[in-house]
Amino acid sequence: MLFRQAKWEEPIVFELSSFSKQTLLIDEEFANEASEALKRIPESLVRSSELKIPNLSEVEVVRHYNRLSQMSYGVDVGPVPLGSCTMKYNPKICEELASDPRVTELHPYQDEEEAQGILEIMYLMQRWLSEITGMDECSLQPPAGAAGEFVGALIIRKYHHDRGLNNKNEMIVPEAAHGSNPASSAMAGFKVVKIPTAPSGETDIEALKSVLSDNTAGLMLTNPNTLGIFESGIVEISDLIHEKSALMYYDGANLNGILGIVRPGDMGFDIVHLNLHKTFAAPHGGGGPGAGAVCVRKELIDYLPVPLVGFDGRSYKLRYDLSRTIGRVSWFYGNIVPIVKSFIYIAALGPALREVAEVSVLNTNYLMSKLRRMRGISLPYGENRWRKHEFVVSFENLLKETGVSAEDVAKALLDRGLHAPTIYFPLIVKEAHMIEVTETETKENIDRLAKAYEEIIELAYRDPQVVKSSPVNTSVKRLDVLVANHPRTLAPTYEHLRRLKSQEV
Amino acid sequence: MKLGFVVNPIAGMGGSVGLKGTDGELYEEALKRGAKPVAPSKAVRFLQALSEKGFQGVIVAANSVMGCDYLSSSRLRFSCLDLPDRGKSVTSREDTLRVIEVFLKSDVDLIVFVGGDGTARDVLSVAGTKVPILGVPSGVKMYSGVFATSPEVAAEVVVEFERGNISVDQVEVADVDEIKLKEDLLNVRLYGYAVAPVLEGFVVPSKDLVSGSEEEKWGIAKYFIEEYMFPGVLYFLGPGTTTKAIADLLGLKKTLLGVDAIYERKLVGRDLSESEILRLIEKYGRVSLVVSVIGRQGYIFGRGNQQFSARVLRLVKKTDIFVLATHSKLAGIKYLLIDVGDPELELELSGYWRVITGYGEETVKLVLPACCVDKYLSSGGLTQYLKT
Ligand SMILES: Cc1ncc(COP(=O)(O)O)c(C=O)c1O
Repeated sequence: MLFRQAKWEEPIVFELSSFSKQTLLIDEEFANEASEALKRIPESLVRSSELKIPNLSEVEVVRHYNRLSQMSYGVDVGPVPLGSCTMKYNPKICEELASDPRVTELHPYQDEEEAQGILEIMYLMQRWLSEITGMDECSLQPPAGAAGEFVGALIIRKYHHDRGLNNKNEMIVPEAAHGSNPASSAMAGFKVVKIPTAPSGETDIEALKSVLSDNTAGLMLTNPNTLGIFESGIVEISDLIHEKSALMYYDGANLNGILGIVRPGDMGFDIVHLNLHKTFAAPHGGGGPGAGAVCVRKELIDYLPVPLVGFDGRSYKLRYDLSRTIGRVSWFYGNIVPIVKSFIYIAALGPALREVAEVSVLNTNYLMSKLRRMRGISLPYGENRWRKHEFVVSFENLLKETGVSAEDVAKALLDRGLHAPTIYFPLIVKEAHMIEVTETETKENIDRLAKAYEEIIELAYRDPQVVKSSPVNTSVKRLDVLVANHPRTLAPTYEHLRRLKSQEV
Repeated sequence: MKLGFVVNPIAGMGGSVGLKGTDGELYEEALKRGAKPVAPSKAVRFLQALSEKGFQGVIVAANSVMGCDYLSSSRLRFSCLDLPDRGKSVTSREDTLRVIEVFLKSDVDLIVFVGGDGTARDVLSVAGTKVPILGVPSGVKMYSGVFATSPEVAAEVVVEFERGNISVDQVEVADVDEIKLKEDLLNVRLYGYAVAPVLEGFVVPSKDLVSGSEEEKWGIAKYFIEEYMFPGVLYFLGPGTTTKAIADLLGLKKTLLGVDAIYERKLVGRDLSESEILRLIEKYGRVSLVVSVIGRQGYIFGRGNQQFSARVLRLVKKTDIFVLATHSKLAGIKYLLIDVGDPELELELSGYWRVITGYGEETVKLVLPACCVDKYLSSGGLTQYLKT
């Protein structure tokens, strides 16, 4: 498939304004009204400095963003097989309904009686997510997955304190876990104890046993784990943790491997967070907005962040009456947009939600079977195990034999009009590609991806230099990662960029 | 198969008396401090294992203390060179060089040497990449990647190599710069690349010449001081930059490659030898050992910190031993190793340990006895660890 990405020398929108020749035409009447209105605003509230927004006409704005979109790539353009990120297609019906004025124009201070619709959606989501996870109640407040983990860790801390178990200061986390797991534990004041992965690809239970003590507060685990392997010893693990009066935390950022098939609650978990913006098809990346619902077992409901949505048989109400709540973690209703989108996604699929997992798992293993047979690729850990939502292969042999690294292969995929998978994660696999095609991709697309890998590997053995100098067909060529990630070059806002440019920072 | 076999009889003698090697004058100093030879016993262990594992080939060995002395009682087939002169009591670097030259002329398929980094350098300087080489570990410094984890493992590698089950790979030969060492700068120099048979998991990967970032080390040191340093306990800090960070934070001047002792946040001993450590243990009673992981090899005892001998370790509770390592150091290390020349003790200390890897962060690692990695793994049902 031929691929050439557009390349525009496009300034950022703030710098575009100087080109603008058109302005908004304001008639006299409007101008008068405006200045009258201004007089009624207390002086202290009127801005004295100039407004720093771009001065552009509609057509300039439209062209600007269209050009940018031509230089970028997303799920609406082609597959994005980023393992652990679950980049599935986000149905447009969800976009449409979530942009309905009844959602977008809702004021956070609107009387609850007048916001029954959105409250009902939230109430049903609390019920549905409880059902999906095998828990008893959920809070939709956390604005992201990591925020959900932090909430979970705080609940664990408060729960132990309430029982006088102040010595419980250790959180166990697998070495291969997502970085936000140890980070949330540390933020909640726990010591982090990392345990290794056994060669089978599962948690090393002997290592787990070796660290269990009265200090153990909990275990954070994701299952299927970071390698995409289902922990067959999960019930034993739960029992071991519970014997120490510790709690089981499920990182359900990505539920794509088990949706409708098995539930964390049935595996023995006590607390679960879900990234609604992954499994339930709300777009993510670029900073959100996300939503990280947290669901818990009966005994822990009282600890959830407020408000929950309650229903008295007549109307829906925000509930603040949780005696042991860890408090508030978000404003108002939480991030309502991804919640609404996820609601529509679940409602549309109904019982077919199970097929999401079935098709993802099938897709994963289909692609894995193709890749693992290729020269230079190996499948470390649990060679004879099927994977669930994702799999991790190693290009260590390819690197040894040709000098072409996992990163080079990833860049070469870009040249073929595909997005690269997650690379160099988890750290326990050298030269890793962590691949997740989700249920979105068709067999043809997966074949295309496999074919691209095959071509790149063949090229690596024949002419490694070509692979190493990719990408050449993209609008942005290979970056110096050190420079690109350095705080001195990263500018999250225009204001920061302006200061960087004028050397103020 | 034809195997060239050479022993550096004085290698490793400096370790237990607190010396960083036996190169040059250090050898005399070692003798003065009462050091005993260690290489001969390693040579015997290697040859015995070789015969047990059914080695079929012939051995071409250097003469007397450099080889043949240890073979005379074995059932292996061998012939002796007339180098070095029999009766020569002190051998030198030149002897090693000349022996290797003869090995090359007699077309050996593999050279096995007993020694440390210094010996590895000498062997490499003649053998180059013409013949694969393999080291039986007996040095004080073993930064090179040509060493097997123990004499027994070296034998295993030779036998597998003979059977054609393993191939060779290029590995680093490195050494610590002696002059810089005196100024406490850990300057590991890369001398070149040798060809060595590599049985994944058995041969020691060469040391990671880059260690973790400063910041990581400060985090580890700060956490250790806050969480695990108590009054009334004497702390022995082993060699390395991570352990040194603890002393730095306390404002104490620790040697980089020696074992120093801290009590009530004061330095009470510098660059200690085994006997000095034993004396301090007797004097203070409550002691803790703080060691770090040595490069990519994963040793926590037996490389660069031989002062923590089997005798010392027998006096310290396992829970009073702390291992520190940055993430970058631990990355790629499958398990940690203990090599104190006392298989029983090594086995006792094996199992899962917590390694302090950051502020408020501990990582569990499997610690194995260097003597018998293979036996330990198969008996413990952990054979799987060798496979990935
Ligand atoms: C396994 C896992 N846990 C937690 C998170 C954190 O989620 P968020 O990015 O929404 O904070 C992610 C996101 O990538 C994840 O993959």
